[in-house]
Amino acid sequence: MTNQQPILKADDLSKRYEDGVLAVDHLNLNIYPGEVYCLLGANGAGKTTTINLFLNFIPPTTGTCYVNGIDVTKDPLEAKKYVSFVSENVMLYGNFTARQNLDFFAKLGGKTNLAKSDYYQVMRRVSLQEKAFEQRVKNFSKGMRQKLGISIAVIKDAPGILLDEPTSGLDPKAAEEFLEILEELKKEGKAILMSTHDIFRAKEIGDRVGIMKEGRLVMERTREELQYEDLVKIYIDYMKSEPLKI
Amino acid sequence: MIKYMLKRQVVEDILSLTFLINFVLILGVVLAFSLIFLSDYRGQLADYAVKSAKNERTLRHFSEDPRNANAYANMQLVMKPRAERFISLSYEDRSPQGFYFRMLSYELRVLSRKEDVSGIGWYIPVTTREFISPPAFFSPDLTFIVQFLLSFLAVILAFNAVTGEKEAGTLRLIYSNPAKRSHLVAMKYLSAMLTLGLPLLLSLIIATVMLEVSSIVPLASGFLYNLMMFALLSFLYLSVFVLIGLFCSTVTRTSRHSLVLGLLFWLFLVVILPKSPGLLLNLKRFDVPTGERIESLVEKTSQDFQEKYKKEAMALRDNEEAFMRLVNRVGPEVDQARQGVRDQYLTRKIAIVKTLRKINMISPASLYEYATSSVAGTGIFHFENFWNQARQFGNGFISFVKQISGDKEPSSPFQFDIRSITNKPIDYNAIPKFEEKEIRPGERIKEALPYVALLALYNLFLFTFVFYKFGRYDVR
Repeated sequence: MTNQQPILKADDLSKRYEDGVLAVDHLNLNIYPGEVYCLLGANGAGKTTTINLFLNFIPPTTGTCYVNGIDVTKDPLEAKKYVSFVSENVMLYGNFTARQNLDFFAKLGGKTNLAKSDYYQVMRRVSLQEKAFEQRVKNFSKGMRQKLGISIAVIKDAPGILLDEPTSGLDPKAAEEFLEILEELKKEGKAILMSTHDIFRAKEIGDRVGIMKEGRLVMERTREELQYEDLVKIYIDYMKSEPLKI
Repeated sequence: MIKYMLKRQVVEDILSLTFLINFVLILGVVLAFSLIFLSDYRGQLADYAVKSAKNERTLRHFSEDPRNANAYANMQLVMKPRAERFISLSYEDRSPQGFYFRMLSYELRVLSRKEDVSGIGWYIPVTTREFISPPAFFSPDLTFIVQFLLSFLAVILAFNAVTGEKEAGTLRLIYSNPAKRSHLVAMKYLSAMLTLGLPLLLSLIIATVMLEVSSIVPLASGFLYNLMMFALLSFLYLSVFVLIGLFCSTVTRTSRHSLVLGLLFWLFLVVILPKSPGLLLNLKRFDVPTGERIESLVEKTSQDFQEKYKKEAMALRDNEEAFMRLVNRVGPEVDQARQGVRDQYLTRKIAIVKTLRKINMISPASLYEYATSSVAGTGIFHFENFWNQARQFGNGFISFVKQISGDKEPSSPFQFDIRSITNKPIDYNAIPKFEEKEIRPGERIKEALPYVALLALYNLFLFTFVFYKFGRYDVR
C-alpha cells in the first residue's frame, strides 16, 4: 500500500480560527487507494475541520492538503474533481426527485452524459427503494437521504471520498447497509476518510483508525493492531487524559 | 456548469408557492389597471374631442370675422391623450392638463382638469397646490407594477439565494464539486432575472392585448417601441433588487435575517425614500401659492398699474386721443406683467418638482420612475415640453395675426394694438392650429440617460459587492 501515492494527504496541517481556537494542530495523514480511514474524536476535536480543509471550505493556517497529489489551496477546482463528499445530514433539493437531484450533482461533478438508466443503476446499488427514484426528496427519511448522498458520491466516481459522520442518526439496519456500500467502494480502490463517533463501526470498517483530541491526532491504529486491543478502552483513555505531546 | 445550475434554479423558483401567488397577483393587477386606464382614456378622448371641436369653431368664427369681439374667445390648449400614460403616469395626473390661451392678447393660464360623472371634463384654473403635492402612493400604471410589486418579488426570489442553500446543506455539497463561487452567484442572479421576466413580459403582453382589443387605443409602432424601452428599463431596475436580495443573503447567517434585511431595504428604497421628500413641501422654502392665489396676485399687478398711472390718466380724461395713446402704451405692459406673474410661479413650481426629484434620486425606485416617464414622454418632462409648445404656439399665433394685419415685423406679442387687426376674412387653413407634438424619441432617451446611468451605477456597485462578499463567504 505504501508504494502507492496517497489519494488524500494532510501535510503538517493546522487550522487556527479567528477566535484563536486551534482546531487542527499539525496533522499528518495519508490515505491510500482501497483504504478506509476512520477519524474518531469528541465534538470539537477537529474531525469536521479536517474534512473542511480537504474541501477547501476554509484555508489552512499552515500546512497543505493534497487530493490525488493536487494542492487543494492552490488548485481547488482541479482537486475537487477527485473527491466526493457525504455530510452528516444529506439535505438535497426537496422539490426535486431523487433522480433529478442525482442528475444535478452528477453534472456538477462533471458527469454530463449519463442516461436515466445510469442513475437508476446507482440508486439500486445503494439499495434505495425503486419507488423512491422518482419521488420528491422532501418526503425521504434520513436513511434514504444518506443513501442518495452516497449515490451522489458513487456516481461522481472520484478516487477520494470524504464522509462527515455519515451514519449519525441512522437506525442500525440503515447504518449497516451504509457500511456495506463503503466496503464495496473500498474494494473498488477508493480512498475513504470517514469522521465518526461510532467506535464499533469504525473498528468494523476502518483499515486504520485515528483518534483526534483538541486538533491533534493522538493515536492511530491499524485494523491488525486493533485485533489485539480494545478500541473502546483506548478511546475512553485518550478522552480522559491530558493532551499528549507527540 | 452554470447551465445545469441555472436550469434547476429556474424550475425551483417558478414552482415555488411564493412566486405563483405573486405571479397571479401581478397579472390580476395588470388586468385591473388596464381596465382602469381604458375607462379613463375613453373619457380623456371624448373630452379632447369636445375641446378640439370648440377650438375649431372659435378659429372658424375668427377666420370669418377677425374684428368681431365675440370671436376673441379663449382657446383651450389641452394635452393630447396618450397611451403612454399607461406606461408611466408619473406627474401626468398632478400637472396642469392644459392652458387657456387668449387669442388676441397673449395670455397663457394654467388649467386643471375636472371631470363630471359623464366623463366629459371641463377646465378651471388650478385652485390648489396639487401640482407640487407629494406623490401619490399608488398610480395605476405599468411603472407602479414593476416599481412596487415586481421589485418586492425580486427581493423575495433572491433573499435566500445563499442562506437558503446553506441552511439546506446543499451549499457544502455544491462546493465539494469543482464549481466556481462566482458561478453560483451569477446563476442565482440570472435565475431571479429570468423568473421575474415571466410576469413582466406577460404583464406587457396582457396590457398590449387589452389596449388592442379595446380598439380605443391605436397601438402605433411608437407605443410598442416605448413598451420595449420600458421593459429594458424594468430589467435594469429589477436587477438592483435582485442584487439587494443577494447582498442580504451574503451578509447574513440565516434566511430569516436575510428576509428581514431585504424587506427593510425594499421598504426604505421603494416606499419611504421616494415619498419622504414630499414632506419638504411643508417647508417655507417650497411654499408656493395656489392657482387661485396666483390669479389674485395677477389682478393685484393690474391694480398696481392702475395706481401707478392713475394721475396721468386723470389728467388726460378730457383728451380722448392722448388717453387712448396711454392705454395702448400701458396695456401691453400690464399684460406682460400679468403673464410674468403666472410664468414666474409656474417656473418656480417646476423648479420645486425638479429639486425634489434630485433629492429622490438616491432611491432606485425614483430613478426608475423618472427614467420610464422620460422614455414614455410623460410626467414633468412632458408638461415642460407642452408648456414650451403652448408658448411657441401663442407667440406664433399673435405674430400671424399681426402679419395679416399689416405689421410686417411683429416683436413682442404684448405690443399689439387690437384696433390694427384686419377686418377682412382670413383663410381658415392659413391660421395656426395647436396640436401637441410628441417629444422625439432621441430627446426622450437623452432625458432618461442620467437616470439610467445612475441605475446602472447602482447595479455595478451591488454586483461588485455581492461577488466580492460571496468570494469570501463561509460555505460550511
